[in-house]
Amino acid sequence: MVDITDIKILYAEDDNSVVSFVKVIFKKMKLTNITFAKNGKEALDIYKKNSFDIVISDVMMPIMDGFELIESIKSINDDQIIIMVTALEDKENLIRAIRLRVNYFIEKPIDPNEFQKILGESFVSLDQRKQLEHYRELLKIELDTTTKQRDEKIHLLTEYEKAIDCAATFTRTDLKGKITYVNDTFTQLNRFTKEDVLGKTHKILRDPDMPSSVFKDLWETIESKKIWKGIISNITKDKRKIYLDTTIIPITDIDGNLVEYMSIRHDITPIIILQKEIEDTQKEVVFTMGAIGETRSEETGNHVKRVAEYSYLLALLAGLDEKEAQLIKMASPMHDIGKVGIADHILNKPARLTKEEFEIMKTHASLGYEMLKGSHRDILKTSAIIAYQHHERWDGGGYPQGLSGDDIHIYGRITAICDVFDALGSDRCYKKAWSLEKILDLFKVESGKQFDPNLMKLFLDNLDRFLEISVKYKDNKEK
Amino acid sequence: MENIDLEKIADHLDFDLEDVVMLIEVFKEGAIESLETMKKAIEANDLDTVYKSAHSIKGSSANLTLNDISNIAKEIEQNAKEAKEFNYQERYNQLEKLIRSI
Repeated sequence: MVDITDIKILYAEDDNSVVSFVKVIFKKMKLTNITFAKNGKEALDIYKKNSFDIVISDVMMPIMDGFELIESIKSINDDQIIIMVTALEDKENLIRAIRLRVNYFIEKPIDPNEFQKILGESFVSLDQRKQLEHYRELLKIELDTTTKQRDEKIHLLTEYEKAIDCAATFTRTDLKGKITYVNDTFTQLNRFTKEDVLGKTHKILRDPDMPSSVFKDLWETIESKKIWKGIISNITKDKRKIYLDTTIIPITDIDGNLVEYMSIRHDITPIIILQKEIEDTQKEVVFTMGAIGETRSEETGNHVKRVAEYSYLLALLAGLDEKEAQLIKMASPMHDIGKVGIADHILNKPARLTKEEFEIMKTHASLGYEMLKGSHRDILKTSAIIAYQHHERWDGGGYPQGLSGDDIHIYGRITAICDVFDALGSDRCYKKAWSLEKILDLFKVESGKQFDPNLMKLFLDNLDRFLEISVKYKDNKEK
Repeated sequence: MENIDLEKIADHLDFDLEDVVMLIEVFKEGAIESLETMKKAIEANDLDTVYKSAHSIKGSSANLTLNDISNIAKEIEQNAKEAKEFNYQERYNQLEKLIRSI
């Protein structure tokens, strides 16, 4: 509640006798902060220079009456609390006063009790107004604070967006995958304009080489509100293939419901191309090295290709994983690399080798191993094993180490079968190609002797698939 | 102020007696001034001024519940406001007599 003695009142009244009369009432109410004015004009002049909680005015005054005064005050401060002292029987005056939104009326002649009562009411409303003003002030401070915090956050968000915008391709899609936003990096990289892609799905960028299983996994992940990361290749508008290190983030609202997906992609095409280049070079070098050995021994180049493919297939049939099967495929062309160290007259002798010559010939396994064993590369390490052990026999009668059974590395056991299968099936300087029937007879006899019986069973059970390879990479006889 | 029941007025207004005495004195002073203005205005037939001075006397006397005075002042005020033919002088004489007798 406002302190009554603090209330500031402006009182416009021309009659000295009435002024004295109300002064007695104010004294009784212990109101001390009253300013009297002798007419409307004087009251208005005072009002313009001071603020008052309440303005009380008589109606009839010389020089500006009560109505003019109230009208002027309301035009300065529309909220000013105003009490008019008037004879209520004058209907016309009353209507004018109500139109001017006079807040309270004190009836003439002035009844001191009524006067106090009405003043009391105006104090209550003054108090309410002051409280309201106080709350409004608090609310404004609160609002200013939250507005500032919000503006700060929006500013930061804009900064973050800028950071992402210039660092990566940034897109947003709705829950159905329709693109709702792409940044400039996106349009620059993909050559699609915003108009090309907005409202469409990422299918517009789809590379047909991408397995659909990747996208199935992607959708399952993000629909369960988890972040998906992976490498996706896309086709640009000008038909270039690009590789993107992709992160897709499901965005949820404050209640945890999915709202949209954001995708940040980094173009890693140059890295992927370089990596492929390195891998291809490696494969080619290994293959070429193998071919050198074959060329020296005047065998056709397709021998190594076929052995590679047979080995790959048999490795998979034996239960090795894709990666290891690939490794064997890449490494097996080098199984005879040691032959580069064997003299031509032995290597290309168009007749059976003597015992001494054969002993020299046998050293190609160790020679190959010695050439390759120092490498830390997976392919060359695999090649070393294959070169060393592809002439070992299951029964222990092979060379150079005379290993038997499982002591022979599976790479060696696989290549042993594939190499012999292809060598027997081809013309060599010292013999004609064997018929398939004759080869199979030998295999059946040698299963468990020269060859791993389990691998041999797998080979024979899947013979059709090996023969497909043999047809596919058939030697060109005219050459 | 023998002809006025000060205590009754004080009681009615719930004012201290000394305040009532002071207010009556202030009233009388102002009223006599108004009477002089009114007298000249009646002579000059300036009914607007008659009205204003009667209004002033009416208001201040009514506050003090000096009803005999306020009734006559009101009668003069209303007639003057509507510029009616009326024996202003006679009423004025009655009013002056009452005020001066305070």
